[in-house]
Amino acid sequence: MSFSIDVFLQLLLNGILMGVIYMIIALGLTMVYGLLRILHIAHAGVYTLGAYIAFSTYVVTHNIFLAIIAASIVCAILGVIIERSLYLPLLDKPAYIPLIISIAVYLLLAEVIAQIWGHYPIGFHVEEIPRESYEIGKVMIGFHQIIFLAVITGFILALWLIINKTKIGLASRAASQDFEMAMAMGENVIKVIDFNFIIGSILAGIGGLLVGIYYAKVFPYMGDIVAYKALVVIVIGGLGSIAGAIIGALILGIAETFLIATLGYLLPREAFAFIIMIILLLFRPQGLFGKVE
Amino acid sequence: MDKKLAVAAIIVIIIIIGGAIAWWYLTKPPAVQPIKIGFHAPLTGFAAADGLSALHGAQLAVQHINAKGGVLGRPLKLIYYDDACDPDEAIAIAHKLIEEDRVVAAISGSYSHPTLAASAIFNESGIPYISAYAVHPEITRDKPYVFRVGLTGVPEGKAMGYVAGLLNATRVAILYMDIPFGTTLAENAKAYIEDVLGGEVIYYEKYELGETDFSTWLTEIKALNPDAILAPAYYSEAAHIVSQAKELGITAPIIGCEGYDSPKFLELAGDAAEGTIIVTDLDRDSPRELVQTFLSDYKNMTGIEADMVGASAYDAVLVLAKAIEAAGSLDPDDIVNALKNLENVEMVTGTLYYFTEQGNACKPMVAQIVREGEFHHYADITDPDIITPPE
Repeated sequence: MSFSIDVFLQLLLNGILMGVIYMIIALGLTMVYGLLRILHIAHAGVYTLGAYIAFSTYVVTHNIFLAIIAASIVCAILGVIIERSLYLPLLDKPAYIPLIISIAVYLLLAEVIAQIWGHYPIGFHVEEIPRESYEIGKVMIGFHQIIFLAVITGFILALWLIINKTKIGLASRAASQDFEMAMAMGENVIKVIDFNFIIGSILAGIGGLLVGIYYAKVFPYMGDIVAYKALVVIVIGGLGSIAGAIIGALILGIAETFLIATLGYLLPREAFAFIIMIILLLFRPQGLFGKVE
Repeated sequence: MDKKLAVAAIIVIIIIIGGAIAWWYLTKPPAVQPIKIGFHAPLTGFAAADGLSALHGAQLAVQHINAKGGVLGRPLKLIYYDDACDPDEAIAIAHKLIEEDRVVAAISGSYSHPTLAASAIFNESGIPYISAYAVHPEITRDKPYVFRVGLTGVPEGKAMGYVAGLLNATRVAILYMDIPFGTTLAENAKAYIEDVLGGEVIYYEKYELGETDFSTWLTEIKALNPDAILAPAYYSEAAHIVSQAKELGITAPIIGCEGYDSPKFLELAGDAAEGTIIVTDLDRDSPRELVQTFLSDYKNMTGIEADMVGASAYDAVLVLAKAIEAAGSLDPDDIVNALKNLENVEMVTGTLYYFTEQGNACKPMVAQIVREGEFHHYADITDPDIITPPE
């Protein structure tokens, strides 16, 4: 199937938006992996809880800014609790032990959310973000999509500034390059790890809120797909690489969109993601931006 | 001495109390034993919303029937279990209902796969079993004890094509969910549009159950500029389809199915639901008293608006009660014969004209349109060529 330029541009935009959704989880996941070498699957649970906290805050206060603040605080606290109580005590254990615990925590969080808010999706409509679309050329973009892209781009810029221009960012980079050396140099490693979990969890919480608004619903199992998609993303990008996660997410989102558009429904969307990952790993096992260890 | 006296007093008291109980028990009027009706539905898990609707619908029917004196002078009693939408659970429940609870008949308020699994057990045991809204064709096939009051896929798919015809749509896009429900509806809608209306299906694609982002499919559909989009789906997918179509600037009307028939669809889609037309069997604007009583009593009982699932479970109980009354006995074979001979039974979801040889309801359908956040009457679908389930 060949596309007109209008369809091509619309699909490209759709693909970028898909990619940005995957990016939200992938960033936190790669930050934690870079530091602790733990695959933090429970991150998707933090994301889901962020969406629900924001939803309930919005329903009560009708103030989207309060919803953002509430989701950020709750998620930051939850992230640090998971880190301090589950991951730090297990650092000297084989990698599969924190992985299994992380998966269990994700499933537990989803079930707790389902018990509190119910098993079925709930509509999430925000007055401040009307669902209007604008036509630019022949490409349609929704107001909620513009907000979504703007907030995430702002967040990534802020993340870049923090990591590159602040002392704790420098410490974080040092620790992720060589954990033992940073410790030997007297760096306060716990503080650095806390910092990574706080930033990553706030991003997950706001991400959950944004995706909830994007699809106009919250759902206890909304973390399922993004959890393993984010895994694919950070494997493509190179485990532990932040730039890799950003590029990997965009590649996956765009590739999925065009594969569905050209091949139709030969395989489920999820299968495409893993095929892309396998092909990439055959040629570059360390991922696009990963270093050979 | 005091001790002996105390013992004697206690014995006397026990004898008096025991005697009183025995006297009360022997002289009270014989209790009217209720007629036990089995029921299963998913009350937990992903399908719990539908399962609870079905349970509430069935309970409301029992309440209404008992308020009017029950059946054969005896009240109905619903014995229900949670099948969690799991076929293995449904099989265990079927055995429990038949062997332990000794129900007279049973009703499924569940989805296709649990219902299909349980239907075989009820049929082998010779216990009448009615499916409220499950669509799988095999549920009733060659099972003389199994009936279905809900719609089946073939008439519903044809009816979607018929609605496209009402809109004078000749170039139609079909976007369907890749499960038997979606495939059956899509195939029959396509056949109706091409063979009966002489129209053209210019887009025919599927997606996976649980999909949330339809922008790729809808971008392709928009480029083809169809007259209408037929999209068999469940309410969650449906809400995403109508919202994202609107956001992409698609103006072609979207025609849905009974999977949309839920207050959840309206809640999730919000304003984007406006103008969506669905094929279903629950007409909320019907002037019939049965329908309006059901709608208001259901809302009073549960606090939420009734949906197709609740109405179908209500109807399953209603039809079973009619058959038992007509049979005049609780013998399973008499009840099955009575079910087979039922004609023109007024139900909430339209008139049951009759059950076909394979136990499927032949009944009219109705198209509803969303206006101001509510489903309203759009058209009746009564053409026998459309509504008669194939055998």
